[in-house]
Amino acid sequence: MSTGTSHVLRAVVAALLLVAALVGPTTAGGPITITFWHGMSGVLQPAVNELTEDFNRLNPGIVVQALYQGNYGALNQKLIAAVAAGNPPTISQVFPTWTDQLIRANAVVPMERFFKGADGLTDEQLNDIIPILRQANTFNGVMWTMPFNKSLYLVFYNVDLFKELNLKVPKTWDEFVAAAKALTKEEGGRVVRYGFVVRPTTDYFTTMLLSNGGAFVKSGGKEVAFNSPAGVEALQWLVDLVNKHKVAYVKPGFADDDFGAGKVAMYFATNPGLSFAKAAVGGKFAVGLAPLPTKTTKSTLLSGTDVAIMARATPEQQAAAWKYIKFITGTNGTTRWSLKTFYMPVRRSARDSTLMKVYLRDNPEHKAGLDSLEFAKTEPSMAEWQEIRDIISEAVELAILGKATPQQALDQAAVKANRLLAQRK
Amino acid sequence: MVVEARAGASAHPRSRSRTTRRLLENLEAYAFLLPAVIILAVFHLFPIGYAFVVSLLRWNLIDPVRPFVGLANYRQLLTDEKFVLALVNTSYYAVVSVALAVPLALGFAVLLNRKLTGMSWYRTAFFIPYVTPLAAGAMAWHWLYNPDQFGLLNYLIGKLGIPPQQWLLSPEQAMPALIAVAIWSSLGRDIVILLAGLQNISTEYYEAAQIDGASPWQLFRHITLPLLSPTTYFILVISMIGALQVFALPLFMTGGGPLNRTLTIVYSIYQQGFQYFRMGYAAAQAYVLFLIIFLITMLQRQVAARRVHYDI
Repeated sequence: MSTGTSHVLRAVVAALLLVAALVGPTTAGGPITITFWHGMSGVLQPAVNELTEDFNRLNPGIVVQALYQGNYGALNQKLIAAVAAGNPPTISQVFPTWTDQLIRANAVVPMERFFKGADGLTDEQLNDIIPILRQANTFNGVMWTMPFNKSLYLVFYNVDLFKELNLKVPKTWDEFVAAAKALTKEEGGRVVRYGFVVRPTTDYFTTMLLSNGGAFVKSGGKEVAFNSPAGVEALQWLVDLVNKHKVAYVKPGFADDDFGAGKVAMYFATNPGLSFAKAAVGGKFAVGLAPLPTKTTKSTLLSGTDVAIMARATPEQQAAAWKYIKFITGTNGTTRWSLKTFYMPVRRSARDSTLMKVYLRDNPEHKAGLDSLEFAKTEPSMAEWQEIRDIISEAVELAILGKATPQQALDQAAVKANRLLAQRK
Repeated sequence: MVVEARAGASAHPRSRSRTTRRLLENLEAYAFLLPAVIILAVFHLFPIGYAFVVSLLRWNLIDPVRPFVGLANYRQLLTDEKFVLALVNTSYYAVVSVALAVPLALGFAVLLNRKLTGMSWYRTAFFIPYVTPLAAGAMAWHWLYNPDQFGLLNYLIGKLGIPPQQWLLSPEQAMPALIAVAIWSSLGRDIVILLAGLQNISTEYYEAAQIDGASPWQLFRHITLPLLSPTTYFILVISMIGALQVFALPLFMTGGGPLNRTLTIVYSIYQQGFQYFRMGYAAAQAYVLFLIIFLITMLQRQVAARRVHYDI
């Protein structure tokens, strides 16, 4: 009799356990797991992981998994494929051009929904985000994404050489050419050190386009404007540095190795490039950062990605995702992120924080980036711009290799780019 | 009547058992075929058909709106300078690489077809590049092609008094540089196949011809070449198909540059489909490539019917 009951009891318990095991994860109120896809490699990956681990420790109900997906190109492909397959992450790093595409596919939810919600941001907290960054994350009047790892273009230079040759950091185009001339060194009829290196990329040209007062597109955004006289002059200036003044050489790849080897004294790169520059230099000389040279307009180009919350996630996951984003882009989070990675802090309160001031006292080279933030500009965020960037880089290559004049190259590029913009609905 | 009925009754089960047996036998065969058929259907036949449907759409892979545009993608190809350039580049690559690789492989195969000590070492040496993953090979070559005076190739030609070359950075030299790597990579495969073909040729022909006083060149020209033609034909076909589909080399070594001079058709398909996410346009390019490969292979078959000798 007693054994009979215990048999029945055991069976019931087993059945209950089975049911509990099957439905457990959804009803037992376990932690909410969310995924964050990013493309942060090298020294940047530990920085993402550290912020994420801290968040997970402080929020026992939430588990954020920060997952490295490869470089930005791979991240883009995986994200689009995952969206198409109906299995995207909860959060992803996105470039504004991707955001444009994702919005039109109903694949993301606006960030505004969360920062205007119960667990949101005060007006003060919202306005604390640097205006150009807020603007760059706004599409048709709605803020869809949150700025995360933002960088901007600066001049990287060899401080020791500048001291040795008694040079001042150039502020204008003319001063820049003069400095490049002084830094170029010939030995036995061969140049052993160049003042500058021109990478035939979109950004080398567009930063100079901006500093010459030029624009990417005409107002209305239906036609490009980079083939304006300001653009032609900017490209001509780069070509002249190579062919006329002979103080620069052309290299498509990254310049930090050549810089470290003392083969070139100045180049353009974005702030996180400093960790790569320092690695290449290996302490042989000091690395300086300065704002880009100016022709008519003080400016620089913003780069880097934002974070988006994907539409496919459950409301609980989205709420948790917002909590995480609030954490990593909050004053504390963005300050720590910035100090670890040299990316720009996304908030004024972080830029002006005591922590940052103390840091700047020991690392004064970072002042250039923080100062440039106020006059930084962004590229158009249309999905088509991704292809237009390649069209521009082709034009820059053509001009630098002497296969076309800057005017011809940019005009051809403008025709192709306008054709793409005309297709946009 | 009764007899008839009986006969019918007895004949019927016998024929049924035969069809059942055949069916069972076939069923077994079908069961063995099923995995392959499923894989082919899911991963080949369906995508082939679906890609054609996609080629008629304007679609970025995730947009729920994907308008049917008919043949607009195909029409766009005709006026797209970049695609035309990709066609020219791919033809250049295919013709030059095949025209150089096959005779070269034949020459080495004839040399390697001798009885020499250590021959297996030479054969291995030639085959190693083929089994080396192309990504690893491309990295090594990228280093050899370093454009300044520190690149190994530039260092070596510097010894001969030739100034350093730009190699992969030069619009004129980039494609020849890629072709050199392609030949290096595929030579081993071609040699092994040709070697097998050479060893299939009966020695009696050579002996008979030698008795008639044929010179080594005559032996090669009138015995080796004709009897090797089925193998040569096979290599020509697979090399041509492979060359028209070249993708990994420009991806690893040049990114299609400089000035799109190493942009091949498959690289263009990748760029349109997975960098600009214009799936319809990419699918249309894929179909055009399919058509080109199909036509060229048919042409090769026509030529082969007249030129290939089978030793029967």
